Amino acid sequence: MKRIAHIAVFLASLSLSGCGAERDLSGIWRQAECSADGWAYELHLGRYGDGLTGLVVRYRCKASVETFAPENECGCFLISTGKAADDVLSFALYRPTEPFGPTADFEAEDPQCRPPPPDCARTFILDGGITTERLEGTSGCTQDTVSRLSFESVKGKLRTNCVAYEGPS
Amino acid sequence: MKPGVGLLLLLTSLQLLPTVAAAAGGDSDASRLHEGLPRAFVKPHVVVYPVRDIRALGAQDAAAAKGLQGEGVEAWQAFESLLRARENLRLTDSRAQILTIQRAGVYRELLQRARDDAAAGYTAYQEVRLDEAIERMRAAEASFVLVEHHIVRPKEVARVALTQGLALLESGQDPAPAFARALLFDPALRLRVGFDRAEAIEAFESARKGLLSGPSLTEGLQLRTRRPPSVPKGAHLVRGLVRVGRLSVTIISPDAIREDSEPLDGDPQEAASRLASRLWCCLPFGRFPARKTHDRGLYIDAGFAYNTFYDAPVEAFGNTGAAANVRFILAEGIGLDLNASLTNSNRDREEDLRDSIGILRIAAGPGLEKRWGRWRLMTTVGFEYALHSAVVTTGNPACKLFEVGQVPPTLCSEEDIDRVDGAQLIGLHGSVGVAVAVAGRVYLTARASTAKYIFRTDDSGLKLPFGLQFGLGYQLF
Repeated sequence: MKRIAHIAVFLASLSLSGCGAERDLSGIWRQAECSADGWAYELHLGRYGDGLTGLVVRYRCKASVETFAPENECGCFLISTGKAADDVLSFALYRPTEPFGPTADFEAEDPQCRPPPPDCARTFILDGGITTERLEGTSGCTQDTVSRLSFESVKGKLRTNCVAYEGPS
Repeated sequence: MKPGVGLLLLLTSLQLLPTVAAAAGGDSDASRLHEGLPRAFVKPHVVVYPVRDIRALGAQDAAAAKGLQGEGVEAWQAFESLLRARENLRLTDSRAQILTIQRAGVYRELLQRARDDAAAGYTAYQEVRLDEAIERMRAAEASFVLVEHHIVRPKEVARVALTQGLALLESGQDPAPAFARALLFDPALRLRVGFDRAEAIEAFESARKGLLSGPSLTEGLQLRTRRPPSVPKGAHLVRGLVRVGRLSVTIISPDAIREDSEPLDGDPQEAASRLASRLWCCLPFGRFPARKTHDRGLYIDAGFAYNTFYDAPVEAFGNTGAAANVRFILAEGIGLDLNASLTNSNRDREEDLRDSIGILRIAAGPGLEKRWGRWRLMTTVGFEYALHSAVVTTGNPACKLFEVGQVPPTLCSEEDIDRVDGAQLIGLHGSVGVAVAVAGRVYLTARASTAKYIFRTDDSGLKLPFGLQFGLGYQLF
């Protein structure tokens, strides 16, 4: 059976590209509306089959589109324990109490983000199969504090810089 | 020039003369016959018809006609034997030709029809239904001649023509042509005094004498008549004629008619030998089989290459690039192949490959080729040398997105990445391909290949490559 599967995969690999469902939902996702706690998250996701990695950038909500302006960033977190099953993504924040920054000496516009405040042991469970171009799901630190979130797909280059924050130089 | 040198040259040339002469003589037909002919030698086909002996035409009566045997027929038989002995000829002698005539598809059917007509004609003649007898005999004779029964049983056909003549005579019409034809079929044929009517004997004799003296004999003999249906196209037809004191031979070839004769006043064997020698020289010698010229050629093609590996450290992935092939045809159906492809890996399904892998494959070996019109089917078996660049893989998603050092080691570290340095591999190579000529010397080609590596400098985990190539080629010569 394994041999047959191997042959089938072998023949299927004759396609020129390695693209397929295993990369679905990779990319940049922005929270559609600010959370009640005043934060908005931007997800930079890299999905590889069943594995999920990337980073989460937190922004202080503003009344305008400037919420996701780079100078409004208030902490970034690496993703840990990321998993993908069909269209459902789940992950947690790596060291949520020690938020990173885009650079080690990043100076946020908001003084309250210097340094960025810690987050809780937040987990995300998001489903990309409900509607196209959206991730719908929940986020929370405990079962009691789960809130519903919705993310929209955004075009752009996937960010990979999320480093330990040392403060402005 | 000093006399001594001149004498030396003269002596040397005299020494060489027999050698030169022998070399020149080696090209003659006689010498080629003497050396023996190969089995595939293409011999000219010569068909010999039974000889026409018309000496009896001049005899006064049947008894005298019967007495005219001997040298003429003996000479003809010797002539046939001498032709048969010439090994460069494919001879159908007169006996074999009679069998050929009798084996023709329509022979039996038309022969029976002719005999039925003849029987009805004889009956009608005896019952003095002369018009019917004439018609029946005319139809019977026509059928006999159509299937060449006058060659097989000339006397039977002669009797039909004779009866037709007798019926014509009794009905007041001119019997001479019919009597003449009867005599040509059977020169010894005579009416019997005291049995046949005097008027008939007189008319018959008049026709006989008219044949002897007029031009109708030559026309009637039809010696120069071209090919009967029983003689194959391209064959040389030999007809013989024995006259009083002379043997004549006519050879009807596809492109010429030749006639020769020899007097029969001496030894018939010698006469036959002289005649056979002269006429043998007029016939084509035959030809040696054309040497098969194999298509020596040089084919070069280049195009797109795709490789994948049946065994790999990650899920199956493709490699795309370019390839080129040179095939040198050494002999018909046999060639030497040199193939090279350079490809770069595509992503595998889960992107476990962290760096693209460059693969160079070079294969060489003998190949077989089979042609059908514009198509060629090719196979090659040989050796392959491959060069693989480093294979870097990881199963850790974080290491797929981030570089080592870009994130904390607990998320991605060097231990999560497997690296095998580049390797050189040698093994056996096999391929099959097909090419089709599309315009002149330009052809399209498709090729599939695989290899079994026997030796490798490092184990990258990439085994049993399977490759496809599609290209455009040109036949240089």
